Amino acid sequence: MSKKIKNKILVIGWDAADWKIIMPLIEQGKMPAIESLMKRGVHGRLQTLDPPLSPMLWTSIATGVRADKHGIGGFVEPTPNGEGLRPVTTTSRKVKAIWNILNQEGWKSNVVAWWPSNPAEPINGVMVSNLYQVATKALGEDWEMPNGTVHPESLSETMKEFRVHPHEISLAMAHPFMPNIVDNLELRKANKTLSVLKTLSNAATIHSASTYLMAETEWDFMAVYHDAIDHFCHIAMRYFPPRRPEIPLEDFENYKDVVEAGYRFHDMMLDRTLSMIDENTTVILLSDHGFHSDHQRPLYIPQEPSGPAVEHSPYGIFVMAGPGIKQGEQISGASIIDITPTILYHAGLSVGKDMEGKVLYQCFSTPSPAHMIESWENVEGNSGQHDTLMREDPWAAQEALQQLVELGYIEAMEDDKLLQVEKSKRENEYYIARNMINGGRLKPAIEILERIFEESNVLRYGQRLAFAYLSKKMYLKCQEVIEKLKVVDLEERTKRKQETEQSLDPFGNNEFEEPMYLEYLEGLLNLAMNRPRKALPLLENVQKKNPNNLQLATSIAQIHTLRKNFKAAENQYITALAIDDRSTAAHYGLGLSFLRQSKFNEAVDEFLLALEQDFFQPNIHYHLGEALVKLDLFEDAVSAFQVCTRLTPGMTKAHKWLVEIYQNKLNKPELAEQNLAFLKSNIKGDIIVCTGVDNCEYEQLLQLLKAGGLKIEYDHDEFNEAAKILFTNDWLENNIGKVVYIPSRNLSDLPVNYNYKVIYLDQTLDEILPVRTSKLKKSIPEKSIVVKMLKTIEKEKYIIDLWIESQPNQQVLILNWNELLDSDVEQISILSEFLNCDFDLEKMKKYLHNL
Amino acid sequence: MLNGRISPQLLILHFIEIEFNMEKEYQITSQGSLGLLALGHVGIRKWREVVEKEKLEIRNSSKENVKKNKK
Repeated sequence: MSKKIKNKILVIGWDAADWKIIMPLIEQGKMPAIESLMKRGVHGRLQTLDPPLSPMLWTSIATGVRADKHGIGGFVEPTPNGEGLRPVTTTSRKVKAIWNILNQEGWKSNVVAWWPSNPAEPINGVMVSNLYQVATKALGEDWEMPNGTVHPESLSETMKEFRVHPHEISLAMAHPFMPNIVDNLELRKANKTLSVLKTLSNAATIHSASTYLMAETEWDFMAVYHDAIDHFCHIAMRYFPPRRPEIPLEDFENYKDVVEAGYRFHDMMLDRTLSMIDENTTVILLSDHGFHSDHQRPLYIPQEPSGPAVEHSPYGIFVMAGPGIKQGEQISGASIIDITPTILYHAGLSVGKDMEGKVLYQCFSTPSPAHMIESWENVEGNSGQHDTLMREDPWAAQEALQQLVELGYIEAMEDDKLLQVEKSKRENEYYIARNMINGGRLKPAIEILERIFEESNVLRYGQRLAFAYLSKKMYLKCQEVIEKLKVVDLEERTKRKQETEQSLDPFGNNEFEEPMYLEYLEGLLNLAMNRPRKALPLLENVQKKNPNNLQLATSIAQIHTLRKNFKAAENQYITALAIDDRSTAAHYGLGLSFLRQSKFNEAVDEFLLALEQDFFQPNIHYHLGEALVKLDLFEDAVSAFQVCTRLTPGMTKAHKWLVEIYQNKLNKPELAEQNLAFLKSNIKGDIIVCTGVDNCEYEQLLQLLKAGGLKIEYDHDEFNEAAKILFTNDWLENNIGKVVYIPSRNLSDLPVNYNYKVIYLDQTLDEILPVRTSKLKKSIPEKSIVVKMLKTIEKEKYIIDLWIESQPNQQVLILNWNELLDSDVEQISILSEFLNCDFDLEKMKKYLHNL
Repeated sequence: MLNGRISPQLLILHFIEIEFNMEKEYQITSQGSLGLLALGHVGIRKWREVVEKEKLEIRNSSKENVKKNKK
C-alpha cells in the first residue's frame, strides 16, 4: 500500500565526527555548510553506546535497539562453511531497520554504504552496500563488485561508473591532506599516504553514488554513511596539532593536515548534498561516537581486537534541520538509539515500545506525544528484508556445523581455524555483554562474562566482569575476580617475559597493562564499599601514572566528597574538567563541591554547565534548586525543583523543597498543598532519628526516650545496621514511628521516602573529649592525639550541620545534653512538643536523676 | 595517482568555494580537485571526460609525431 509522503528525510552519517574538531573549524570559516545547517536546525552531542564499535553502533542507530537485540556485535562473523571469518553481513541483523519499517509504510528508500549492508536488501528503492567502495584490483583492471553490492541488480553497471580508484587520486586532490606530497617522492610511496588516498577515494565513491541516486531516483527516505572521518582520524590523529613530544617531527609535518582536510572535504560534500534537496526535506547529520583529538589522545593502541576503539570518545555529533524543527537551538540528552524513534515520530509513524531509544521531542517546534505500538516486528507487510532463510545467526550456524563435525558428518576444520573462530565468537559475546552493561542489563552480561572468562582467562573479560559485579553491588564476587585476575596477570607477565619476541597474537591482553587496572579496580571496590580511606591511596597511585584519566579524577573527587573534604574534591573536579571540559559528571561534582562550601553563585554556574551537556539529570536540577534557594532566588528554585519532579516524579525531597518554598517564601499555600498531598501518598512513614558525633551520649538519650514511653527496640545489632545504611535500608521499615540512631557520617545515606524528625545531640568538645581519650587507656594522651581528636570531632559536627542545612522542610531539634541534665523539665517539655507526644515525665526525671 | 606537475593556481584552488555553474566558472584539468570530487557524480563524470580527452590528445599527438618521424 502506497501512502502519500509529506516530506523527505535525509540521514547523513559521518563516522567519528566530533564537535571538538568541528567548532574551531566553523569559527575559522572552514566548515560553512554544517554551520548553515546548524543555524536552520538544532544541534547537540550524541551519546554513544559501549563498546564504541561502528557496525554495532550504526545498526543501533538504524534500529533503535542495542546489540543483544539487533544481533550485530563485532566486525566479523563466521563464513557459511564455518571455516573462517568474513565481514559482518546484513543477514545477521535480527530486527527491522528504519528503512524496512518505512518500506512497509510505502516509503521509497535509498541506502548507501550503511554498516553493515551487504548483501543489499531488496527494499523499494536502492541499496548500495558497504562493500561498494572497496577497490579490489589495480587501476585499469576489471574491478568487479562483490555479489549483493547493489539492489536492484539492474543498477549495478551504472553504479560501477561512480567508483573512484585510490590510484586515480591526483596530486592536486591529495595536496590539501599532505602538502609535502608534491615534492616528496618517498612520502608518495608510504603506506600511510596510500591509506589516506584510499580513504579519500572511498569517500568520493560513496558521495558520488549518493548524489547520483538523489538526482536520478525517486526517494522519500535516504541514508548515506561515510566512514572516512573515522579512517582519517585513525591514520593521522596522532599527527594532529599540537605535536606531542613522542611524534617525530618529519611525520608530523607530513600528516598534520590530514584530519582537518578530511573534515573540510566532508563539509564540501555536505554543501553539495544540501544544494540537491529542497527546504521541505529534513536533514539529520550524525556521528556514532567522537574521536579524541587533544591531550586525551591515547599514547598507545592496544594490540587486540578492536584495540583502535580506544581512540574513540563517548560523544558524537547531531544536527537536525527541516520543517517542524526548532532553529538555532542546542539540545542535550540525545543518544544514538534515539535516532530511529525520532525519525518514525517525525514521519508520523508509530514508535515501537520494544525500542530502547526515545523520541527527541526537544528538537520539534510543537511536539505532541508519539503513538506507540508494541513492536514493529509483529507488523506484517513487505519490509524489504532478506528472505527468512537467508537471515540467520552466523554464530549459531557455526555451532551447528561444529556439531556435525563432532558427529562425523563433515570433516573437521583445521585446529587453528577453529581456534580463530572460537576466539572471535567469544570476542563477539564480550562486545554484546559490554553493550548489555551499558544498557543496565547486568545480570545477563555477568552470565556471559563469567562463562567466557572461565573458558579463556582473557584478562579483559575478567576486568569487565569485576566492573559488572561492582555495578551490581556483588562486592564479594568482585573481590574474588580481582584475586583471580592477580594470578592470571602474573602468569601472563611471566609468560611474556619468557617470550623473546613480541606477542603477535591479536587477542593479547594489553588493554590495562600500563594503567594499573588491578589497583584501579580495588580502589573502586573500596570506594563502592564506603571505605574511602582505603580507596584514596590506591586511586591516587593509579592517577600518578594516568593523569589524563577522567573517570579516575572523578572517582577520587567522589572520595573527597564522601569524606566531606570539599576543597580537595573541587581540585579533583577541576582536574577532571581540564581533561574533558564537556564532562557532565565533573561539572556537576564541581557544582556540588561549591555548594557545600557555600559558594552558591559558582555552584549555579557549574550546575548550568552540566545541564547544558545533559539536561535530563534530575539530581543536577535538584542541587541547582538548592543553590538557588541559598541565593534567595525562589522562583528560579521552584522551576528547578519542578523540572526535577517532572523527570523523576517520585523524588520526594524535591517535593519537600517545593512545599517549603510555597509555604514559607512565596506564600502560595494551594501549591504547597498539592505537593504535600503527593508527599502524604508517597512517604512510607515517620522515623525519629537521633544523631550526634561519635561517643556522644546517644545511648542515654535513647534510654531517656524509652523511659518516657517511646518505642525503642534497643539492640546493638540494629545500631550496627545503621552504619551499613549505604548498602541496605530495609530495616528502616521496621522502625516506622520508632527512634533510630544514625551516625553523623551516614546521615546523607538516609532514604528520601520517610519523614524524619531529627534530634541532634549537641555536646561540647569538653564533654566528648574525655570519653574518647578514656578509650585510649592512657591517663594522659599525647598532645598530638588530642589535637587530632579535636579536629575529628569538629569535622563530625560540621558534617551534621551540613546535612541539616541541605534538608528541606526537615524538623530538627538541637538538644544539649548538659542543659538537659541541668534543667530536665524544661528540656523534656521541648522534646515532648517537638515529637508531639505525651511523655511519662516522672519516669524520665527519675532516669536522669539516676545517671 | 596521476603524475605530472601541477600549477601553483591549482594548489590554491583546492578549497575554493565550489561554483556549481562549472561551464562558466570552473576550469577542469586532468588533475581534478577536491571541489570536483565534492560535486559528486557530475564532477567525476566531467573530470573523467577531461582526462579521457587529454589521453586521446596525447595519443593522437604521439601518432602524429611517429608519422612525422617516418616521413
